[in-house]
Amino acid sequence: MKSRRALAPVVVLALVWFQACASAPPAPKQALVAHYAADVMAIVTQQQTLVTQAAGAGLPVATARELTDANQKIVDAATQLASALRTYDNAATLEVRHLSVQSVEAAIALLNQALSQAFHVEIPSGITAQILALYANIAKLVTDLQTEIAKGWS
Amino acid sequence: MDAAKLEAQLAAANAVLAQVSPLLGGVALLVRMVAHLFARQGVSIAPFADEIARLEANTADAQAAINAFRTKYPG
Repeated sequence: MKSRRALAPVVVLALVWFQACASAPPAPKQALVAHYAADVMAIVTQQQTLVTQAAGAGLPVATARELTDANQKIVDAATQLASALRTYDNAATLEVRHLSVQSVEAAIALLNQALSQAFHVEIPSGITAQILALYANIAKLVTDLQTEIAKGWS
Repeated sequence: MDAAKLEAQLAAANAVLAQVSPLLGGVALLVRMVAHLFARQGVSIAPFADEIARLEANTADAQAAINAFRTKYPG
């Protein structure tokens, strides 16, 4: 009876601990990367829709094509990033998780490269205030993301 | 409470602690093992799958917007 009483707090502690392990908050860095990248892609979608609407109506079709090609590279990089993050999230061992961090970093570098290429497409002024505003939003998100990444992976 | 009573209670508490300490170590090990097994089964301890799903969905939307442009302006 005495040992049962002694066990009670142990069992409670174990349950609390296990519950804490099972419902631990998301890994902040990786969750932030996914969060920012998802926001970037929402803006890219809006930007591409604007480009399609503006093409031929003030925005030269050749420029619209150039922007679309740049966006395709962003989409490809984002697809790779999502895949790397999935691998990270599902990693069964620390070794796989460590390797997938490298894939995540490579995909982020690719995404940054694709975004900077898109920024270099020359857009005629006047018609494109909205597109430029969207790019400014993307640039802010990228800066926030880079600030987070610079702090290192957890 | 007098000193003798307090001393007796402390002694009793120490006795319980002495019994419990090795058990705590064992339970900790067990919990770690279970958590490790969960992780090996692909159950994420630090889930952020919702954010990844949002990234995938938004990327698919961007691809659809690109496809719409290419349909309108082929070549």
